[in-house]
Amino acid sequence: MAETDAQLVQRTLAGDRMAFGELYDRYARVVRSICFHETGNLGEAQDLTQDVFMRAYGKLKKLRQQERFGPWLVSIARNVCREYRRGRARDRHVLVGLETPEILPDKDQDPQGRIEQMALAMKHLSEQERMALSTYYLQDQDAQKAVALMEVSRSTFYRLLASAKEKIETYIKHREEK
Amino acid sequence: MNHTDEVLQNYFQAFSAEHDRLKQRLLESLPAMSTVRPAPAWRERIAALRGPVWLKPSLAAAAVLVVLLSIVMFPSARPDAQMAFATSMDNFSQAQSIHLKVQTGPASMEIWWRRPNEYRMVFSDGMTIVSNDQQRIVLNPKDKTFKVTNPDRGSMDMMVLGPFGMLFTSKDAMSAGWVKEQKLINREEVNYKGQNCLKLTFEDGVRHGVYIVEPELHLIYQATLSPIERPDKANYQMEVFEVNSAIPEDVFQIEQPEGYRLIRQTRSNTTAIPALPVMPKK
Repeated sequence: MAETDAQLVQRTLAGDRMAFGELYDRYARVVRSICFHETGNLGEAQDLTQDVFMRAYGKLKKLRQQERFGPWLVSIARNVCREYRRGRARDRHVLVGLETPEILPDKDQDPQGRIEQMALAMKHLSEQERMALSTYYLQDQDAQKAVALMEVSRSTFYRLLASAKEKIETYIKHREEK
Repeated sequence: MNHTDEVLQNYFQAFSAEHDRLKQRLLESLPAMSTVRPAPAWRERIAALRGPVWLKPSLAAAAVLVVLLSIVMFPSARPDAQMAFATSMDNFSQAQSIHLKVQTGPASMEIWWRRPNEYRMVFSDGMTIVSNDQQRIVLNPKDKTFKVTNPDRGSMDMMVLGPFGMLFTSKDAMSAGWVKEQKLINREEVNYKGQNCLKLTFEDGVRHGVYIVEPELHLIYQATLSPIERPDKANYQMEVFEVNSAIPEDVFQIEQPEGYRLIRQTRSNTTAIPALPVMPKK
């Protein structure tokens, strides 16, 4: 039977880095998607994800409710993204005036093109709808895990998921008609 | 699985890219966690503290006092004033464009400036100075003259901004030396146009300066200078509207109004100054 998050946290605190590696396996993809939706760049999202986990590791001793590791980690990710946003604003003398990179049409279905097209679709969703999709598809399409991570009721989760999928479907149909 | 599910699955697969390599890198860079027992649950800790019943109120009162003292003596991390000021000045000195307003004595002027040497100054008495790559033009409504001269390469006009003008027009690293001379006198947290800012007061032996700085974005919004012997008598006030915004090209152009006399004062050894572009009438 798989260990709980609380058990993995306790093992990490006892000095077992591999336990932290297992927590990374469980949550890194979701964190990466949160960071990607902030940065729009997969490389930067990977860097921010590493930052999120480093901070979580450093603050692990302060985590009182160890079973809430997942939602706690998501809150760290949001803070890191917020700081990233502020940092971008601070570097305005570099950034202001740069044109938004042109998203090339996904003519040949290459993976990079696909992620960029879907990233555009994701912009039409609310943050909660994006989280619902991320937590569902990045956690083996397990609704129970998604509900636990988002800390919402089951009905709210399903409502968000349905709404998100409907919007994505509409976006895909609209693109295919063009 | 329908088409949308398939598309979403394909999309989210991207977030597994290089997962194992990134995990390895993370684990290798983790510092050693000191071997400590996990903190006991809070109920257990309180129970451990439980002593005779009469101690409880005293303990609670003592805890409140400690918390209050902590707040007073050791406030939670506040933006460092000196750092915020230094970084704001540095940002200001490296700006690619600035739009601000300056009041010096009775006169005020609104200025747009773009690196390296383009600017427009509109004074409260109607005088306008525009300088671009091609020429410097002074429009004077008092004598109805439209004077065209060589471009102001040295941005001497920007000296009207005083030390701030030299900050972003001078080739030398002015900001570092200037900031170093400033001594922090006072620090306040204020709300400026809906933003949480720092109001910082500095003195450098000559001037008394009050600055409104956004400590997270490191932007300077306002600066008020006065002689050190009369800090209450401001002789210079600058309000920054925008930094590094895209200033429209026509800001650095100006057309000769009807009824104004054209005066060309160019150096004889320069090449002919091209004619002013004709601005379309609005």
